[in-house]
Amino acid sequence: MTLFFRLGWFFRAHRATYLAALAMLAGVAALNMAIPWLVARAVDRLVTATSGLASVYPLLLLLLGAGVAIYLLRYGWRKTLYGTSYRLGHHLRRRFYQRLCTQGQAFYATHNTGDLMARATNDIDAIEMAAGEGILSGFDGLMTFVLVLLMMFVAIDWRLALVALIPFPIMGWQFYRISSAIHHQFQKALEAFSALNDRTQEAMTGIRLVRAMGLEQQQDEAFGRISSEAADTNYQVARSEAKYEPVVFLCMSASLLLTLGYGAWLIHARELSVGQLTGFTLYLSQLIWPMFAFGWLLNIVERGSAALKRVDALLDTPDTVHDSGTATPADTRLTVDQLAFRYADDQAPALQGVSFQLAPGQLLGIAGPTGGGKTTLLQLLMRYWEIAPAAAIRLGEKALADYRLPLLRQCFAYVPQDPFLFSLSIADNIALGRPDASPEQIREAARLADIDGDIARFPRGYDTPVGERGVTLSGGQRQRIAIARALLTAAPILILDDALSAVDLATEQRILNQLRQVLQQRTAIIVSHRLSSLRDADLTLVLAHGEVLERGRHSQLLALDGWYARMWTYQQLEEELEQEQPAEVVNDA
Amino acid sequence: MRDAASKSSQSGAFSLLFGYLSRDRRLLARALLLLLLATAADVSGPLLAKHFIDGYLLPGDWAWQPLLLLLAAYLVTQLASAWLRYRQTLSFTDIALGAVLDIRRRVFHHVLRLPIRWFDHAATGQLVSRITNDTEAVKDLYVQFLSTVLTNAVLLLGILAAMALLDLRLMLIALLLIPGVIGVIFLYQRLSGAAVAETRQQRSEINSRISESIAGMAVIQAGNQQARFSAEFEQLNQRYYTARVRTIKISGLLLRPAIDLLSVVVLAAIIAGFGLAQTQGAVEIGVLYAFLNYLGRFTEPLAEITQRFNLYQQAMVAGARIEALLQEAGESTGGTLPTLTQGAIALRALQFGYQPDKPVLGPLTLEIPAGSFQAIVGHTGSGKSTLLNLLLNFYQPQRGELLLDGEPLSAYSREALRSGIGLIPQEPFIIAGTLRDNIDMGRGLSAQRIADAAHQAGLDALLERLPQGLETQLGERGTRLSSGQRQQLVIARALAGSPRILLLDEATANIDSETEAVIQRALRALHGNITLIVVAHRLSTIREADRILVLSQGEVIEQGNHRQLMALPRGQYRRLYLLQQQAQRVEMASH
Repeated sequence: MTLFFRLGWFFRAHRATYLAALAMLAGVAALNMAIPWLVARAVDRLVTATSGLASVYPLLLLLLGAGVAIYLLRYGWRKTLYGTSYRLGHHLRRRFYQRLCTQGQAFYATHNTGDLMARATNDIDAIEMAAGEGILSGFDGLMTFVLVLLMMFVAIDWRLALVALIPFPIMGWQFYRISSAIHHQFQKALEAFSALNDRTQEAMTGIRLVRAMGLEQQQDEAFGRISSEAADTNYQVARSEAKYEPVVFLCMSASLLLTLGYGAWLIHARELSVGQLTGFTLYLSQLIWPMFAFGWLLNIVERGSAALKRVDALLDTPDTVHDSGTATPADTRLTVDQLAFRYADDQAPALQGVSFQLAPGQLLGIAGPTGGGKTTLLQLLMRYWEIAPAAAIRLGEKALADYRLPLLRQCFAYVPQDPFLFSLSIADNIALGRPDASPEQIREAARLADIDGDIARFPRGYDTPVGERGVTLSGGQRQRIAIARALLTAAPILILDDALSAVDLATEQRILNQLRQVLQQRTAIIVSHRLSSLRDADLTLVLAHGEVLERGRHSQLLALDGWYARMWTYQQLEEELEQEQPAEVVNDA
Repeated sequence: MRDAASKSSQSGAFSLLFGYLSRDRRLLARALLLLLLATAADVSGPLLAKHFIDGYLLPGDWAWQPLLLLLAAYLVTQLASAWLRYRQTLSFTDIALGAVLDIRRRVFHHVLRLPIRWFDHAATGQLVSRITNDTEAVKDLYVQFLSTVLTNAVLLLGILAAMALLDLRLMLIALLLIPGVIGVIFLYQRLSGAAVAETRQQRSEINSRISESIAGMAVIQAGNQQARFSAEFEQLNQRYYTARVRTIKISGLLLRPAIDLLSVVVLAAIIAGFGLAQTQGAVEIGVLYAFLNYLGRFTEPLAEITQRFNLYQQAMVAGARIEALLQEAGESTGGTLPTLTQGAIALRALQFGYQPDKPVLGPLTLEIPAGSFQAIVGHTGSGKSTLLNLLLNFYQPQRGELLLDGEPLSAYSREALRSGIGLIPQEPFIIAGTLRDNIDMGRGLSAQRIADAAHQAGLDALLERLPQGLETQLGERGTRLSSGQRQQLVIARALAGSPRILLLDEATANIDSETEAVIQRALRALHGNITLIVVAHRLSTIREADRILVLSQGEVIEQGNHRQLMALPRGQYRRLYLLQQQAQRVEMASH
């Protein structure tokens, strides 16, 4: 029940609607009690009175009236109760989304997308269900239970009620046993099914190997075993589920038999009427639902609590990057001083002893083997992660944490290696950071990124949507759109994180030449695995294992015979090899 | 054309799914018999009660013998009904699970033997889902649809028959419920269709929006667009809420509340009808008692039946997809030649393209003598893997010939090719099981062969150190092997089939020196006995090859042994070799 306590804020906020829904539920339960009572009265009049049909007309009208009232009330509580629980889901989803928006990269590094999606969808559904059906089954079940007992004991005959109810505790106990067995068996069935999925997945991805090695028979047998297991576990579940009906049926039959036997005795003793006996049996059948409802309630609440815990854990996660600074950036000189950084779960530092200065308008190149810390350095410059001491990176005179986060981020236009495009139009994707840009400005940015020509060839030009409903873009096109996006923001510092890796050499050179004009007023940081992109850099750092291995201008680095110089030679050789068409075929010696 | 195809797959799906009913006639007959008996026992309860009320209770006849008989009859029918019902449900489950198991095995068996070409265009995720999820829909068809509809329909008929026995006119009044409920459900489906579809649509939009936002959060934050994206999400969220409230309104107006209202109306009508009948002549009160009892159980089956029909549609859609998969043409059975004796390979003007108009290989003409060591070198896309695929008979050449020992590859039986050509794949994969299982791989090889293969692959040293030898468990919970040992195991696995031709597909140039040493040792040992074809990235692996073929754009541009190729001043091989040496120097500089 901690679930309802933890959702207390919501129930309090919607106190009036919940009270209305509960009142309507209570009304339905009460009116449901009236129906057997009316039937009992009608039967008695038909049996005893000689006036016949006319004597029961008022009762029948009341019966119809109760039916209509129940109908209206039922509609009312459904709309109110479920509608309010949908409101809760709506609210949780909104808060969840806003939370996602304020989390930094440290958060996304530790939560995978599948898990976050599961919380945003299945978990919120489970909470909604607890707030809707959970309340319904709990309240309605209890209400019906109490009212039916009241009618049986008080309105008809307490002795008959006592006798008739003997099988019901047995029914409740059996329900509980069956549902815990199913819960357990269902878990096993789910596991068996996921094993089946894994097995199939494995066989399908390894099909070439299976065929090359002639393993079809062996695979068939392994699959057959796992499918049999899945069938067995399913059979267990089905067997337990099949027990519900006989249990209900037998308990009801036993109860009816007891009612009829003892009721007949009471009628014989002139202490009960036939109508009352009829009405009593109708009440009996109303007791099945509460028995079900309690088992169901436990189940729903259990699932809802687990879900709420997971969602709350996320809603309560503190922001990974605190926005507590107040300053507004003015000077865009970057100073990095003995920067060190280590990811929370890693032993080795990702960066160590990195220092450099970058004046406005300068170009910094960063190179080095994969895993050397290049992307980490860029993300730290934009304050995607917290560093200590904070003053290790300064923008102007102040540490990054002293600036207001949104203003700090506005200083940077960042193009990652694998750029992300939203399923919006191409124009909207380019104007993502500046939604008010004019079509001319968007086109100009696209022209600088050398993507204007490609876009013109798309069916709807700049309005072509990206993704499933529109065009599928190549890696190079995506990268160039991301560059156009960055150029349009007019941020003073442009960061390209190996952002031209998927375009060919000629296109890369063309883009870099066009960027040169723009970059005269802007600071740029270019990470590239192609060293030719870094030739004009004012300073190039070679990062390896988190440390600065070499530093200097192109000519200085070439003179070192270090990583940079060797890589340069390698790339020259490679380029030669690629550009030359095979000339001659050498015959067998 | 398309219509005809979908119609035939529809009827195919129908016979596929319902075929299992007639497959085990005895089981089906038993299930139906149980169903009839259970229903008969079930509906006899209120009849007996009526007999008691009218025959004994009201007249005040308390003769104990007939009463005891009634009691016994009641107990027997009720217990029998419960037991029969339980057995009947399980019988249907048996049929269903048997059908699912069989369809799954059939589909898996079939897919495993489809031509490799077919897999080029198949999405793995969808394929897996057809084999597992779509077949699961068959279970729903039997258990949820067929069993529920049959049970409830028979129960309805049974109740109606019992009612008719009691009083025909009152039965006709109860019968009115059937068109009423069907009408309500029909109306519901008409009205809610659009609203339900919209909820689903909004729901999937919300999901894709969240997943897109999670993936692109760095971009959103970099552009300071959090507020805008939140506002857009909120609009979507609000639309979803509104759509759901609309569906709950429709279902609240029409589903359970409406059906319950109908049953109250019929209840009143039956009482009125009873009163009317009573004024015209005596009708016994026990009849009314029994009717009221039946009526309580009357609406449930009706609602159940009408709500199960969409399950039927879903199962048929899934069945059609499975049927389409089963209709895919399997691979040809191969030729008749039983064994590959030598291992000589000849290519005669061989040409191939994955799409007929885009050749990626050839025309190639090559003679590869049995027992020689041939290496293939080239850039990505040069045609190396394609050549391997052709040798493995995954694809068939479009022009020219591929001869093994002078006979076309297609003349050999599948078994001959399988045992005659061994493959050492890029990724050494280990199955959970013993070392022996990993070498045997379900082929049922003799102990001697397995031991020989282990010896040839150089596993002796490892086996001596392991107390359980070949019976040592590997895999997740077993002994972990080093990368070199894994490679040895994979080589042993390939050699255990006593191939005449061994294909080795090297994944990258970045293999560790231990693995490289293992491969080189094995190649040296096998050189001269088996035809070796090695696709190499690391050129040091193939220095001892009899011949190195340099492929570019599907053609051989250089060939010769290492020494000969290195002697060509502007040769591609020579430059590739120098490039790899330079890469090693770069590597060294970063340490």
